[in-house]
Formats: sequence, structure tokens, C-alpha cells
Amino acid sequence: MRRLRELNMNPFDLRGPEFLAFYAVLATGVLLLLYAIRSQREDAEVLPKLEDPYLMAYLRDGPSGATETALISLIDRKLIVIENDQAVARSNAGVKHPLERALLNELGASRSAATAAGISLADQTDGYQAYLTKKGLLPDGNQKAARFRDTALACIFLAAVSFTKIAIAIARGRTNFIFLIILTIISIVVAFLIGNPRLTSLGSRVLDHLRTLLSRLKGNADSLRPNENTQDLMLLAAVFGVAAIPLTAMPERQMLYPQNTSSGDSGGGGDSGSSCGSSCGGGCGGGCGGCGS
Amino acid sequence: MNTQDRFGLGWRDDLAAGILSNLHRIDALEVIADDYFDAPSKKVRAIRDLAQQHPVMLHAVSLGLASTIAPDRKRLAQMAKLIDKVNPESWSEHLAFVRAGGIEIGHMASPPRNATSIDATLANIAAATKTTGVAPAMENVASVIDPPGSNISEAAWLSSVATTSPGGLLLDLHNIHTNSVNFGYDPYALLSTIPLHRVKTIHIAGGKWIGKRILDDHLHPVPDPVYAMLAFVAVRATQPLTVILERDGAYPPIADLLAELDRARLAVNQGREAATHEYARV
Repeated sequence: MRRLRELNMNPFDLRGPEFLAFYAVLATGVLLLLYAIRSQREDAEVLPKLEDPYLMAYLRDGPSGATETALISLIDRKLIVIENDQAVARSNAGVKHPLERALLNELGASRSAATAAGISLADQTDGYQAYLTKKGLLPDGNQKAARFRDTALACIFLAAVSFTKIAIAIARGRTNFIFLIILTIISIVVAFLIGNPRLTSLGSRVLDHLRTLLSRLKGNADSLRPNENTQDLMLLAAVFGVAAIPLTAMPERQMLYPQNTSSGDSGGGGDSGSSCGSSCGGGCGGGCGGCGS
Repeated sequence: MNTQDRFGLGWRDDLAAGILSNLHRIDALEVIADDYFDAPSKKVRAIRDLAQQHPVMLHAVSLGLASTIAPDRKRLAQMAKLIDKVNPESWSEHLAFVRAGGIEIGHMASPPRNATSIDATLANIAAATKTTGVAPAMENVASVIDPPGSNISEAAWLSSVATTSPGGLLLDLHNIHTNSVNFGYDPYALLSTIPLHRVKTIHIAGGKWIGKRILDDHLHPVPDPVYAMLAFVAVRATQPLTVILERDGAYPPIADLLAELDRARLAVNQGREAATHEYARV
């Protein structure tokens, strides 16, 4: 014990910079623990299947994502036409999907392209939220409560350590604790971000899984042409965001989403590599034709 | 354990969008194993997750088990590792050799059909089974030349391997169709000879005519004779079958591939009904 006392193991006795380093390590540990607890609680062994692009889009970006994807689908099918910076709805006859019908109704006869791009049909996508929550991809009430509890505990702990040190410093006549206050605020903000993301850990895994499986689609997006690959465009928009749709596949995107013309909502990244994927012999070494497999 | 006939597609990254949007119409997926031997862990994880969601089988193309030389140990180890990670429903390889004398030929070549190649093939299958812990189903291959050094028929060679190989036979009907055209034999005579009860999975695909021969390139729709053979097999094989449509390029819209799957489903159902009537008559 004497040896420990000699080593000055009480962290509150550490000097300013040393205590900041100690606090940074402590906060990192707490944040990692918070992340690990949430991940463990919200994950599952088997990923749920998502086949509907609108569900995928809602998972990525909520009502806005689903509505954007519906807009992309309707434009590619020429049910909405962009003319002179106006989004003009054509006939909705034959449009059966409720979200697409709702978007056409919301659009009315005509709106500016920018306004059309900003439509977010929250009411019409409630069902997606309920479905994704039921599947464990968005947090339910119990998970939200657990998140709040864990985050609050982490924040209280981090604040308590900080306040204790500040109180000791004040008692010792010191006032140089501004960096500690800043570090505490940063830690608490990060704790809220880590503890309360929009998706559950399972939801993040599903989105990442889809992005990986569809990376070739993104990598080869430049080969898509207007009005020929609606399903592919929908999946691109749903999983990677509208920025992943090249202008060669949908020139209208320039007017709808001018802010997204150069940057993508990435994740997963393009994979245009040619892994052959055939049953041809010798590990694809001999081309894909005439393999006799 | 699969208890009913299933109809699936070969997973290709280029078809991913269409497949993922239509999984409810695709009963099973077959993934080319070799594409994942050196893939980033993220890609392997994605296939593992897919295998947990949907029946996935791994299909190897580069082990070269139908050979008098032992399979490459590194590739076998990679296969074993992949099986361990992905946990597929089953795996398969080809009854072909892909290297000899230290040269990769980049092609799946039919081995000479003789007793020596049967013994060597069975030994290699046993080695692959020991390394991976799971016996592979072995797929018959197509050829544009009659393998030199052969002294038994394709049917007899296939029957010998399929009967003894613990994983049974993966029956590629387009390869049978191709070989029957290229070498002028009756495909139904071959199908009547080989042990169809050892078949769990069937491949269908399309090729192209080059003069009087067919090249099995997997770039074209499944031809009518393959569907007819599928119905023929469905009459005689009473066990559940998994039919996989292979397509390796010149990809049509996914709707076309799904229509081919529907046609395969129809052919198998017709075969099953015919078998039922046959039993009823007995």
C-alpha cells in the first residue's frame, strides 16, 4: 500500500495535463463500453431480408429516402417529367404503389423541381417505420429507453469525474480547468451520438450488408441508361442515396438535387472489379467463354 | 434438409440488384467460391449473412479434383476456410482438371475416362472431403473434344464416380446436352444409366452453336432440350431437387431469368406429375 501511495495512484491528484490524458482514456473506455453494450443488445445473429427498395430507402434515410426513391422511379418511368425546372406529373393511371400514388397526388399538376425533390411523405411511410422497427432495424420503445438509460449513466459518470476534479482544483486554488470542461462536453456529445443513432446495430449491419452486395451495381452505375433500368436506379437511390445515380442515367437529377452532383452518399464503395463470377475453369484464369462447366 | 424442389440462380455481382429484389421468387443461390478466396472480409461477411437469410451453396471452379495429381493444398485450405466462414448448405466442384505439369490451363477440361482417372478422382474427392469436413457434390462437365486416353463411356465414368463419391452428383443438364450433340449420343440413354438418385442439385444454362458443335458459354437462354431433360429427370429422381440457373454474362433483365426459372419449375412439376401417374398405373 505504501508503494501505491508512493506511486500517487489517486487520479484526482494528477496534474492538469496528466489528468486530461487520464480523462481522455477514461472517456474513450466509457464510450467504447456504451457502444459495445448497445451493439450487443440491438444486434441479432440472422439479418432480416429486405427486398422492397422503399424499405431499404427508409432504412437509410427515413421518409425522405423513401420519397426520393419513389421520385426517381416515377421519373425514370416517365410518370413525372422535369420540364423547364418544373416537375410535371403525368397520368397516375396504372400506378399501384401507395407511396408512388401519394407522391403524384402531393405533386399535383406541377411543382418546381427543387420543391418536388424536397417532398417527404412522412404519413405515407409510417408503415415502413413500423415494419423496420418490428424487424429490429429501428429502435423500439424498450430499446430507446435502454439507450437513454445507458447514455445518461455514461454522461453522469463522465460529468461526475470531471466535476470532482474541478472541485478539488478549486479547493486547491486552481482555475485552469477550461480544457477539462471542453473535453467533458465533447465526451458527452459523443456519448449521445454513440448511444442514440437512428438505426439499431442490426439496422446498420443490414444497410452495410446491402451496400456490400450491391457494390458492383454502384461501380457499374455509369453503364445504366435512362428509362431502361428503373429497378437498378431505385436500388442505387435506396441504398446509396440519389447522389449515386449518374447524370447519364438520369439527367434530371441535376435539377432535382443540384447539391448532390459531385458528392455521393457513400458507404460500401464502388466495386467495378471483374471477379468474373463464372463457373469457368482455373479460377477465372481463362476468360468466361467456352468453359465447359 | 431440403424437402421440396427448389429453383435458384447462380449469384453474380452483376445480378445482385435483381436477385435481392426478387428473393421471394428465388429459392436458393449458388455462389462461386473462388471469387471469395482472397476477397476482403467485408465481402465474405456479406455472403455469410446472405447464407443465413437464404439457402446458399458454394460452387468451386479451380480445385481440379478430376485429375491424377493431388489438388492444390492452398486452394483446398482456402475452400475449407470459406466453408467455415460462410456455413453454406453444401458445396460442389467439377469433374474436371484445371492444371497439369505446373501449368494452369484456365479451363475445366474433361479427364481421360478410364479406371485410373476414376481412382484418382475419388482419392482427390476424399482429400477434399477430409480437408473441408464436407463432401462436395461433383458436377459433370462439357467438352468440345473427346478426352484422349479414354476407354470407357461418359455414362460409365460418371456412374462410377457418382455412385462412390460421398457428395453425389451435381447434374449439369446443359453439359449433357452439349456433349450429346458434340459427340453424337442419346442424352436420354445417358440419363437412364447414371444414378439419378445420387443427384441433389441440377444446373441448367445456355450455350451457342459453333458449326455443328455447342459451346457451353452460359451466355444464352436455356434451350428447349434442357427443359425436356429436366422433366425426364424429375420423373425418375424421387428426391427433392434444387435446380440452379447459371448465367455468366450478357445478362438479360432479371425478369427474363425469372421466367427461365418459372419454365424450369414447370418442367419439374410436369415430370413429378408424370411420375405420379406412372405410379398410379402400377
